Amino acid sequence: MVEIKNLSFGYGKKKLFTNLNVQLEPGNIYGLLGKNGVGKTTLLKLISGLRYPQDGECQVLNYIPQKRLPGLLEEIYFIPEEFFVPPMTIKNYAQIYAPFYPRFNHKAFAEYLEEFNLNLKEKLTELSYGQKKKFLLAFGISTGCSLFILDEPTNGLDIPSKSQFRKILASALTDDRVILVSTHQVRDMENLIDPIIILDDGQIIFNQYIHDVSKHLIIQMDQDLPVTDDVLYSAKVLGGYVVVKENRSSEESRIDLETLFNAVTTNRDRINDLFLRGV
Amino acid sequence: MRAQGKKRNEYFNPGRFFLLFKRDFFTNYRTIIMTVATIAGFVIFASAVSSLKQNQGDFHLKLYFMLLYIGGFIVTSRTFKELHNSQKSYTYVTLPGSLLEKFAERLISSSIGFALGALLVYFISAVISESINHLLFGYSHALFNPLSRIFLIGVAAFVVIQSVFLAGSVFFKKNSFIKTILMLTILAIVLSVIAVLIARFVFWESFAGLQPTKQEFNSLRELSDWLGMTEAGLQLVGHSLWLGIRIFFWALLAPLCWIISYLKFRKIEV
Repeated sequence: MVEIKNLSFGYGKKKLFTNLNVQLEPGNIYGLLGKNGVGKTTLLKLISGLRYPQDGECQVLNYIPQKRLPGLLEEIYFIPEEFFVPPMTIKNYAQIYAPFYPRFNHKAFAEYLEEFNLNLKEKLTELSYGQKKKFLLAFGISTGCSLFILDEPTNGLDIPSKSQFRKILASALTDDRVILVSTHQVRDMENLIDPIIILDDGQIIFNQYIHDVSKHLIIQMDQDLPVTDDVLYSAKVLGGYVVVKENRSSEESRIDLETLFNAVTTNRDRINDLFLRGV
Repeated sequence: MRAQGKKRNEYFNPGRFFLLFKRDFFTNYRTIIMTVATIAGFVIFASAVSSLKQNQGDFHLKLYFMLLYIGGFIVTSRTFKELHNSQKSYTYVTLPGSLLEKFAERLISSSIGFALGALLVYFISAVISESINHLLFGYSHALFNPLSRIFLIGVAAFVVIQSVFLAGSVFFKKNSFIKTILMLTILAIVLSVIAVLIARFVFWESFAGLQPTKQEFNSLRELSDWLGMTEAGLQLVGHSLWLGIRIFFWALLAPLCWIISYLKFRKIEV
């Protein structure tokens, strides 16, 4: 659905991406992880046509996003981290904006609003930041878009809302839809995002399904710092060491995304080599 | 893929075009109400004050054009403000509508749309204000004919000059009204300097250094003799120059500004 080939982009003289390649297939909730300033939001903007590549190709559903054709825009819904809502009620918003999306599902929209305890008569500008986000989430899913993009979606959500968010996002995934989530809050996204994409140094340095990660890596707690050659990453934590090792057994461990991210960003070559070798 | 099944025109669809108008109207209804109230209040107040000094036959025509030009240029300068706002631009750019539809919608709203809207509000306000004037002062100004030649030319000139402010609203991220005025001022200065330099080269004999001498041309014949041209030839040059200026203003300026604005509009990244 999304195909990026040899894409280069930068702001002024600062190069952000050089020959970046990635493919996103329908039926997945991709988690886009990366340090501050690596270009996660910029990549989302390039995919949705808000920014234009300086070199290379970016295609979404066989469209070139920078042409901003309505046929593609009907298929994309982007919730940025910082957003604007107009001064009108939820009902009016739906009346004005929903007709732009031919597959908008009003019944589903009403159900999502109910799930999030939002009322059609509520004025958008009078909602809290978290409520506005939940409203946009409900609207975005209801558009029937094929590509749903969320930038830091759990920022500003309270604990119950995060659970609701995960539940609704999981239910919104269909075979012909890609959900792309950029986040720092990996704990909020555990058991939801799969595959994991890690962006670093202008490249996609990691793009794997959780299942494959569990097959290749094992994350465990050790009392002492292990010194064996299968250790890929270790960090001191309360009560010992969290260790990422090559999975040389057939057992699969639970994957902690934060530890995985740290392991990949500190030892990317060895980890990628492990996946390439198919060990 | 679902998107490939779409049969709607990707560049212009009347349904989507209408939706863009509807969206803009309902999103900006507070600004529209404030503008309407300002126009109505100003017309009633100015008309009442003006009634004290009677016999102003074209009072309403002058006032309408003053409001149309000043208000219209300010409103036009804000046309693409949404595109330069980091939060609002996401919604606008990703809204399913083609670039052509989005641009044309804003162009029509801020030019003909504003002129017609202002005319409607103005007329209603003028009728109310003149009824009040008649009751209070026993005098009322005559209303103008919106189908008269002078009115239609004035509105057409507004649409042409407005295109420059529309370009300003696309190109300038902030304070586009002031920046457009500044640009026009700089352009006027540059053109004046060019005109002076041309005059300096053509009439070089009449200059001592940069100062013109006291040579005067009291007739077309004197000037044509001095330039070594026939009187008819000089008239032809003058007419051609004036015709060129008129063609540029009435036929080229607005389309040129629209095209430049659209090309820039297409390229804006947010």
